[in-house]
Amino acid sequence: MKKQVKWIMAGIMLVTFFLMYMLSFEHIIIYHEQHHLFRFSSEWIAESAHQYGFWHPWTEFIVQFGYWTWLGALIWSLMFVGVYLMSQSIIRRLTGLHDLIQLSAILPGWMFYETLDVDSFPVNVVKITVIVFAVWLAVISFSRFIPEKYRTWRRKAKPQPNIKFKPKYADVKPQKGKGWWWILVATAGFGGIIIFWNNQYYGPRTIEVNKKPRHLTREDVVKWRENERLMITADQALRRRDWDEVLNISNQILRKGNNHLMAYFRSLALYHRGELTTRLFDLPQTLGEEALFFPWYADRNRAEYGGIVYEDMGALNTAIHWEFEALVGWGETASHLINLSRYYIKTGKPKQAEKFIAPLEDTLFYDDVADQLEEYLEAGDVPDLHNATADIPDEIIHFDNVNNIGSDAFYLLYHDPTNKMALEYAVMSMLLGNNVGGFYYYLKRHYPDKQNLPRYFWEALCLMRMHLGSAGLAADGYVIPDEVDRDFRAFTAEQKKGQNAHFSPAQKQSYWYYASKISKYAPSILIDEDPLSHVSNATPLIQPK
Amino acid sequence: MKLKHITTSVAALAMLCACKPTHHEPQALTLEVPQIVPDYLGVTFAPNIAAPSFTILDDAEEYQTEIGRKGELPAIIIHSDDDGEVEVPLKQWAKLLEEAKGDSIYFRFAMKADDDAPWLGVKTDVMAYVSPNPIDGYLVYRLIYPGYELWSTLGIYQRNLSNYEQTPIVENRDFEQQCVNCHNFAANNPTTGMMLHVRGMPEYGGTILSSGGTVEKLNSRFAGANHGATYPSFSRDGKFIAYSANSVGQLFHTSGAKPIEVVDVAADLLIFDVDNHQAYSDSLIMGTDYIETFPHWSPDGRTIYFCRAKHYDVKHDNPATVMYDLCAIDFDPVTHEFENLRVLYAASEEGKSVTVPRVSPDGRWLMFCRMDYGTFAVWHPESQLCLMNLADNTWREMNEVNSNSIDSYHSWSSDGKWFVFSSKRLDGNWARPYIAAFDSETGMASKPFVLPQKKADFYDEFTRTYNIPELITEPISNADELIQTIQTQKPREIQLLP
Repeated sequence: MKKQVKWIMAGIMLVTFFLMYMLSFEHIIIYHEQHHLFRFSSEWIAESAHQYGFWHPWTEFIVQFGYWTWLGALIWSLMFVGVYLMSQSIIRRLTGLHDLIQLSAILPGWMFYETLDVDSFPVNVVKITVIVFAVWLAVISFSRFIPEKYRTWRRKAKPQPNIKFKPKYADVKPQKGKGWWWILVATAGFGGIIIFWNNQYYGPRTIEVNKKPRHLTREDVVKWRENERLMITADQALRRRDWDEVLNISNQILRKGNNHLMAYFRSLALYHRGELTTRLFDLPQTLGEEALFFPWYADRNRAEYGGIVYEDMGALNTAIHWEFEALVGWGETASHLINLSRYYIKTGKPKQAEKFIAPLEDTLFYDDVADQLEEYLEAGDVPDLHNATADIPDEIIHFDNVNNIGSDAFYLLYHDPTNKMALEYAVMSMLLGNNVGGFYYYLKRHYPDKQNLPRYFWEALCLMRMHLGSAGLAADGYVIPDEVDRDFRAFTAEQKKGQNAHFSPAQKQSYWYYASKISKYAPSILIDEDPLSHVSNATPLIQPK
Repeated sequence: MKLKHITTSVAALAMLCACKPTHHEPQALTLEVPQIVPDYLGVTFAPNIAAPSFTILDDAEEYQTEIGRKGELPAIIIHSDDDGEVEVPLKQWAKLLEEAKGDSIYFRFAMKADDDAPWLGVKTDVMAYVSPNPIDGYLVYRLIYPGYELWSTLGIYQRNLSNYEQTPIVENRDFEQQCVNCHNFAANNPTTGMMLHVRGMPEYGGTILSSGGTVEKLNSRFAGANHGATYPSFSRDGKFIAYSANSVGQLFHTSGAKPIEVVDVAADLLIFDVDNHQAYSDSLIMGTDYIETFPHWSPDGRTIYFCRAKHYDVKHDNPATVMYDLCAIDFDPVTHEFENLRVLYAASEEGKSVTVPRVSPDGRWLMFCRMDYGTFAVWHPESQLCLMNLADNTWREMNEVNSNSIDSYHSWSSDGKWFVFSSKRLDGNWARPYIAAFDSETGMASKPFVLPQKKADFYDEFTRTYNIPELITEPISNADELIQTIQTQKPREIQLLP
């Protein structure tokens, strides 16, 4: 029965670790897999070991199996169980005792715990697994080469049934005829230990004692993450273009408080569901225009997501800026390589696309994607991408406004008048900027159906009416529906109560409420019909540190 | 026993013979010269340059490449399979170049379309010239992703040009991924003088100066200067460093071929005295009327060449209207006075802009980049290398080295018989170091070739860009000291004298 205990424990541990990963920590496996990419290339392995330390590429080797989450979970679980069983064996061989109190389970438990943080890349877990393996090999090899006198001693000291503690090596049975095998095993074991102790040759050169951590700290996304799991799940849903799921998760998180990434995701989901102009203000838009995009900062987490809106809008030059920055910040991970390949193919830069396809060919799970990209490369087109700037001549020089998506959306709209996303983002950025005059300017030019407008547009027109008068609006073909007019009067009546105002939930979800209470420009509203009167036309400079 | 020895010797000989490539005599000839990438045909090789590797692009099942001295049997025969990759053995190549100094070598190609097809030879040998003048032994460059504002792993490396050995000088993994840039040398010699900047966290940031056997860290922001020291130029005697102190910004192109525009918001020129640890400037080169940048010393250390544009309002003026002229100003190394500021080439009057002036070591020629506007040539596809004859200030485009892609940052070898420059001609986005021979008598350069690598497809897969290639005569040997200084020293304050 004593011999069976470890196997029972191993079985329980395997099932427990696996289920814990699958039920509660699946996102960790996904996160690491998405932020690392192992390549079967000796040059890449050598470079990775040189830059980040010997164990880094090997950890990435394990992490890559997270491509299939269940496989990643299984491999990590098997590693922990392996460490448990090897620890059992080591204890048994060194002390001659069964580890009945399960000291061997401590290390796997700690290792599992070490993998539960997206901030921490589990290099130590892989390192420990290899070390335990090396020690185990060393111990079993050592036990095979016990001098004869020990064996004699062991025989002489054969324990009596009533003696609990056996002498060392009591259960070791020398094996004959396989000396070469054990020499090999011993060499591997000691070799592993030597590699471990020589690890400094692979890591950074520290001439003086440099106690500071070497790796970039991962503030950023994680800091925003009140609910890390949900956010990574939202990220995955966004990559699948599952907009219902993205909206659902972002709503959940935003109801708890501010979160820029989720506000940005929500805007994207609303647009793709056709609801940006009808549901944006369902939740308070405290970030203003920035709910639609990320201003450009030297921040790899923003870089990872900032380009999505530009890709969807067809601003591929801008999407490339963001994606390349993300690649610089995160390294050559699958998603950045794939996106850059797609963008460069679509913008007619095949040589540059090839450069990003090549690394994918060296991987276990993305070589099919590389083949697909090669086909796109051959065809010179990517089916699901739109290049809104394709027809703009090189001579026209326009710089991104890195602090406001509105002006870039206008620029796209000018050159690509049927670009629906650019139009909606441009118009909504006007509304979020309290620029009702600018909104009106674009409304007149791009929304020919003057009867069937989204609710927010009517609400903004009520504000515009304060400037133009009903006759002025009517002259342009706009007659505000009675229902909207009635609600507006109710809203203004409530507003006049000042401190004593109690707005209904419906009023709080109106554009009026946003423009007068939430917007950073509130309560002022711009009514000049200059589309850029509120958005600085000058392109803000990025000044490197 | 004797029989055993004989058998062994015969077997060994047979194995050696088996290793030597068989020569295939072409059964038919073609006039069409195969296309190879990178292109090494018709170039001038330095006698001490590492063997080039390349890929033959023509479709075939098997390839034969023979390389030899003009008029002689091939010294090297290489057989390649259907990938067309030709990796020239280093030792045989070095021997061939040594023998062919001042003479020509040929590349002779033959191909076999499939197993049953005859060997098809190229009728005309493609020639290359081997210069009698060796190139400086090492090339120093920074390897970095061609990104914009973020950076991750990067470092400054030196490459032994006679083989493929690349060794790190400083890598930012040793100082928390901070940025390191703008390495520069006095007279191509790191012992005479060397400097680089470290940017980022204050505990590491500063200008690292190696001179006279000592390494120290300086505060890059000189007290009294408007901006931090940026683009450097060491005088040949190692006594002064001319800096432009720039306020740099970045803009991103929404459309078109250019991804980014790096602009100067403002810039002045400063001279740092290495021995006295003081800095000098003058109202002629410092102030708000002009933006002065990219200084470079004349070999005698008495003139500074630089680029200058009229100051503009970055918030209202279009940066695409900012154009730089090529200027010079005299400097007295004893009195530290500046005088005689003159415009050598008013490029702005032609609607063009010049950048990165570099004077040849004999002082006769000045190489610069010319482009449509702006200052940062490495992102301008229209950037072309130009050469000015300093005897009469006439200039020409160097069509013998330029391509239809970006040709930018260039530097001379210590004797001026070679120069290296950055070109993105291979793929449009990644700068690669190209080397060309230069004849100071005629002012003509040879067809350039890209820095040879061991693997034929190296440049297809390598995703870092080569930044600021600089030739040096001897290897940098104090890398540990440089890192130690970055990690531990506090920067010394430098005063800009009024």
